[in-house]
Amino acid sequence: MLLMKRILTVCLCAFMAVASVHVPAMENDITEFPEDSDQLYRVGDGAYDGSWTALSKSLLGWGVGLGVGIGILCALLHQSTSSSHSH
Amino acid sequence: MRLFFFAALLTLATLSSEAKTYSYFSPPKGWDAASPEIAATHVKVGFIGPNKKGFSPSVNLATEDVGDITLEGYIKAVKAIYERNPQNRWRQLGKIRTQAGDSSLTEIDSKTEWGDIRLMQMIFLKDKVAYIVTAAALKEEFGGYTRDFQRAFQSFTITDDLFGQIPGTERQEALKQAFEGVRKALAAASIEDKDFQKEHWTPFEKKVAAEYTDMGQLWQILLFQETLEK
Repeated sequence: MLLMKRILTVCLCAFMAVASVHVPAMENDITEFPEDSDQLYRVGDGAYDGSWTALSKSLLGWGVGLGVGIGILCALLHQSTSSSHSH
Repeated sequence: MRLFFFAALLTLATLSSEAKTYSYFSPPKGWDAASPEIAATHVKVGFIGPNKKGFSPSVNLATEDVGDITLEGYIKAVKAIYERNPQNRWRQLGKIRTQAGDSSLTEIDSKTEWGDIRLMQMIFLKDKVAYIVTAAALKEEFGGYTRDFQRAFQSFTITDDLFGQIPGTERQEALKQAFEGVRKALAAASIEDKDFQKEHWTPFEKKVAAEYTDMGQLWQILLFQETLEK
């Protein structure tokens, strides 16, 4: 049981790490600008927001994918638990 | 429909500044105004087209106070934002002539969960404010929307006189009279008043929707906002 919990924890962490890669491409830390110009450091949010809003549909898709992924993982865990009891 | 307009009016409060400067574009016909909840901070309004393959094409307008930066400086900053992500490909397409003046046109290709997305951004600077019109669609479908997007960009307007944008002085005067009539009635009633809505507001809405379709949905929304403003 403890081993299964550890496996589940590792798998969930791995899944989250993979899922985070598929966050919409516009997801940047916009505060980390090159510091060669104060003006460059502070502007551009309007254009970024325009793109983010246009892509916001993809955020909904990512949220659904995450839920499905966790569901599949739980199903696999249940299957392996059932098969270990039958031996 | 009425609820949408009131919701849109709240979102569009900053599209007309205290000095009554209006900024708008003509969205493609038949596209729906997007829910304000999915808009980021600087986005004032957006319109969404039909969803064919899981991703809806859209056009939105954002504004940003930028101080004394030049258009070239702003574009440089925007380029830096996009190019921080290796999944983005940004390029400058050149100039596009709009009703407001010559604007800069850029293109961004990005990979997302929905597939390859192409965006175009029209960027215009005036009086220390950047205006950004962003159009987006699946890359494989983008060609089918090019004309709609181009019209949206070219129609981008900044004005302090909504009525002055109407072609034809007769049409301008006719709408001004209707507008003044509703304003006068509103001064003696409230928006929620059923008699006001039946006798003044609803006929005005129908008149604008039927006789001023050429002005575009966003212009109509701004007009309604101006009409209902206390």
